[in-house]
Amino acid sequence: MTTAFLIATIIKVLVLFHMVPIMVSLLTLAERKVSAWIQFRYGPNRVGPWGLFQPIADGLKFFFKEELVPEGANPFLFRIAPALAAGPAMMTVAVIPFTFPILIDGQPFSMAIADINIGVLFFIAMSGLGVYGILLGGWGSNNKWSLLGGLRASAQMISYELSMMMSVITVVMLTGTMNLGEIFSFQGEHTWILFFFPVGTIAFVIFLIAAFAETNRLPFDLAECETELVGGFHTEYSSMKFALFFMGEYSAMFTMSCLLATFFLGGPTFFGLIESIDSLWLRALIGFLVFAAKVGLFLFFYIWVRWTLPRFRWDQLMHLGWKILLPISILNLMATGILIATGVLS
Amino acid sequence: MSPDTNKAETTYTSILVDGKEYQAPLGGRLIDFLHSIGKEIPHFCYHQGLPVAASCRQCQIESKGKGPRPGLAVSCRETIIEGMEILTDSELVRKARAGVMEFLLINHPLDCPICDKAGECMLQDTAYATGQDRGRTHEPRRHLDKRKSLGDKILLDNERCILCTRCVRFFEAVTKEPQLTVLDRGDRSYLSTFMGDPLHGNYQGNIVDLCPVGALTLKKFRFKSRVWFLHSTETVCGLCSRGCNISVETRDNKILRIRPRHNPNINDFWMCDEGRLEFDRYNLEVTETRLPSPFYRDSQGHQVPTNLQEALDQAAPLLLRNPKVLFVLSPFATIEEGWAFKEMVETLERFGLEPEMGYYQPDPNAKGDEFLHTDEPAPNCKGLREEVGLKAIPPESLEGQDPTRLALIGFGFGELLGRACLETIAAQGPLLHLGIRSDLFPNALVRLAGWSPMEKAGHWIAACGTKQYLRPALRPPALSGDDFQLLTRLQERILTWDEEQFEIQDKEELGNQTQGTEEVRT
Amino acid sequence: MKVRRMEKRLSLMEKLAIPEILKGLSITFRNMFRPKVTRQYPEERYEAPIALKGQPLLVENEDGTPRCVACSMCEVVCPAMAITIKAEETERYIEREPEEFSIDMLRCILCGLCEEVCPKEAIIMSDRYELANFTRESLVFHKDRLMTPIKELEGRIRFTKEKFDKWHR
Repeated sequence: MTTAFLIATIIKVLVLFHMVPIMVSLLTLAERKVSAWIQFRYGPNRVGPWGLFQPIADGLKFFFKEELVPEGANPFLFRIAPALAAGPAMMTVAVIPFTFPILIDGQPFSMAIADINIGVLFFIAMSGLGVYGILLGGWGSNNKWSLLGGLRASAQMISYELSMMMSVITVVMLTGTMNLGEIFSFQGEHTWILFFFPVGTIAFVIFLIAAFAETNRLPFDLAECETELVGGFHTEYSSMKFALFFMGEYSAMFTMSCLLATFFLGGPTFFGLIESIDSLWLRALIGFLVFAAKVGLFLFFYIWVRWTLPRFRWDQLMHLGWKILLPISILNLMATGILIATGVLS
Repeated sequence: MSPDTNKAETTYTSILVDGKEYQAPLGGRLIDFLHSIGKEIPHFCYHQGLPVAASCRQCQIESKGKGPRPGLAVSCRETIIEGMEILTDSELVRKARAGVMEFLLINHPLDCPICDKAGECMLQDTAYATGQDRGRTHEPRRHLDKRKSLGDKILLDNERCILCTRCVRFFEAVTKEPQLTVLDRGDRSYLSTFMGDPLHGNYQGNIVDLCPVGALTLKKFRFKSRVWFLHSTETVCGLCSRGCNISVETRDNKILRIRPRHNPNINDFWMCDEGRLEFDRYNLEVTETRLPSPFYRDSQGHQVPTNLQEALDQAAPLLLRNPKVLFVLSPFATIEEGWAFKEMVETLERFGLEPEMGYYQPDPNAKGDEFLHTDEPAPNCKGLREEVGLKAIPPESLEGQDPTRLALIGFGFGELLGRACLETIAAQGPLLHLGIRSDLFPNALVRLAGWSPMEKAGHWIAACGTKQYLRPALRPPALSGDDFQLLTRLQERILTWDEEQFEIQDKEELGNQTQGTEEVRT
Repeated sequence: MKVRRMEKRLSLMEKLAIPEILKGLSITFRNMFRPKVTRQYPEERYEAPIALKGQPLLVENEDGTPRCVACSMCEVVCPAMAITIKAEETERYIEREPEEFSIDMLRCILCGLCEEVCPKEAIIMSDRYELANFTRESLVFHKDRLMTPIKELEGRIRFTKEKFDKWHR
């Protein structure tokens, strides 16, 4: 490992990890802007040009709010829960390759922070951890609304994690690898998983729906539904602890969008056009832009759906998760296996 | 004094008013009878206490039968005779009154928004009832002096005057000293004093009450308040022993105006200017000139504000340790207070002390006249002397006294005592003072905050012997007390005062202080 | 009692839900490009119609004297008892004017009765509608803050003259 390689890695880590909070702050602004547009309003436009500095103002406000620990709460769990909610969501970013690898000292240099062989497994493990923050936050608050919110969140995440994993396994079976870099380069060589009809498409739809449930976004935000549970698991939280929950939710959205782009839309590839560029640096740059466009598409979709669809009922949520998505995803998995075994695909 | 004292031998006859039969006093004045049966007859120049002029022609009625010849007649001029038939609200009467009204309003300025009389103005009421809200004349109204000063008490607005001559007749018939007259003729006539001299005498204020419009206004009340904001209380004037019946008109706990009430036996419709205008002694500002709470003098000679209980605790030993206290009650005190005062002093006698007591009998001044004002500048000397049986203490016997054995009880010593006498008493301070003024006795050992006659209820006996009831018109300060109540509580405190008991209480207090530690308790 | 259920039977497409979701998404997407209805308030101000009853003000004549003669009609008619008047004497032909005239805007309910009752058209409901402030004292308007040159209030004075059929010239 050479010095240049080391420096490049450090730069990469710093840049990619700082990208997450920046993306989160921009997302909060985007959320408010898009919702305003949908409702014929302007949205925040007081702080800076087009309200661009609104997230800074929000953050400052969070810092100056009073921190409260409710009476009867478990102080340790209450304090650690926001970190547990935000941490795993941000850590998943580590395995996502943001663009094509480049050459440093003649060696290929992956644009994921951790270019590991079991990237998919890492993602599965991390998204499984994400539930703990919400569950412990709800339980540690000593508040019935928080507890109900935490319970709902855990039940919902476990339910939808299954079908999500099934569709991820479909992708893994199709590409034959668990390394995310290889997953997108496979898609560059063949075509996007989305177009592996029907199994790839079905996997995509299931993953998309499950991603909404995993990130607790509308129409699946039963863990914090205001009309029933006041604020759900974060009822008792204030100041930066509340902000951390918020950041967790938005960074989960961000990583989910990145994964969707990588798994199903071929990451930075674009029908072989970008791979044909000879210069590695230019290819990486344009690949990054393409990847960013795909991620942005999904992020917009997230917000768009939120301001369009109403919330599910709890029984409808469970019905959808266990009786519809899970059977379909299992059947889809079996179909994939059959198709691969019979040689229809690859 | 009253115009209808010979009511006893009145015979009644039956007359028809608006088609209904009534029993009316034969020979009585028609307008009075119509008012007494509830008919509203508008009138300006007529007043019960004045001779009839019949110049305004507003009180017209229609006569049908015997008496005045058929047609319109002025009811203030007519006496009741047998077989009269009267219509008070016929078409003819209404038309005639509206016509009179229109003539009166030709030159009367539309001053109601700036006129102090608005709200109690007879012309305004009648114009409103007549209902003609627009004039038919195009000619300019006549312009006269709007701010003509008639002496230091009254202002005349000649434009508003409707020449009813009530004020002229008041000076002619009631005070028998004519001062006003109507000058010039026809539409140029106007009200004036003789040679433009200012008014004099002690009864000018009555013409302001008499004026049916806002032509004559009191300088002291001018623009002070609209009359509909005033709260009126019926009570008795205390500035001389006549005991005139008055209504005190207040706003925001301040007296703004005092007006006489009709009492045929005492003051008829009138009152003097002194009683009407000198009410500032009741409008004291709390903490500036008004004693807000009881005070006592501490050992360094400072006046310390305190509460009633503590002030009584200070006062009781003072009275008990001085064997010869001279208690002087103000002649402004009510009879009830006189009794309480007497019993309080007699309680001290039971302790073997030799207190003296009496009420202060002010010297007669030269203010008395044949009409209303008497020589005695206090309201209740007769009551305290004859009903309560207190001894009169003249000013001379007070002057030689040692101030430190004086106890001055009641409102009014500041006004009644002579300046020299006041200063000698105030220098050493009386032993005890109960009053309302904070500037009076700054060296008194104990000062109790009492109420003024405008704040308390009770009885006074006027010089003519009538016992009259006082009603509270003002709210006293929160920490002051009713004089009667203060006197009875002082008596109670004297009765419960016991040197031995005091010592025992002292010991208990000492015991309580040492009981702080556990050892003492066990 | 018979109960008739009015449940709508869903068609197959509706049961699949995805087309319906897409329909909803298309509606919200189209909404994004429709004109905005928000008023940019502090910059883009609301022009009140003449009939609006805003902050009551006192009319100041061209020569700087108050039109009000302190007749207390508004004081007595005010249902919220927001008006306090103290009169004083002047040297002018109209010999009376307010020495103190205060409207407690915390109490004022903007009913306009004072304007209707005023015999001199001296108290006028203006179009000022921004009546918020930080202290109670600053919301008790005294004569100095109420007196407004007659020019600014002419429109409303004309309007009230027609509305209440006032006789005053």
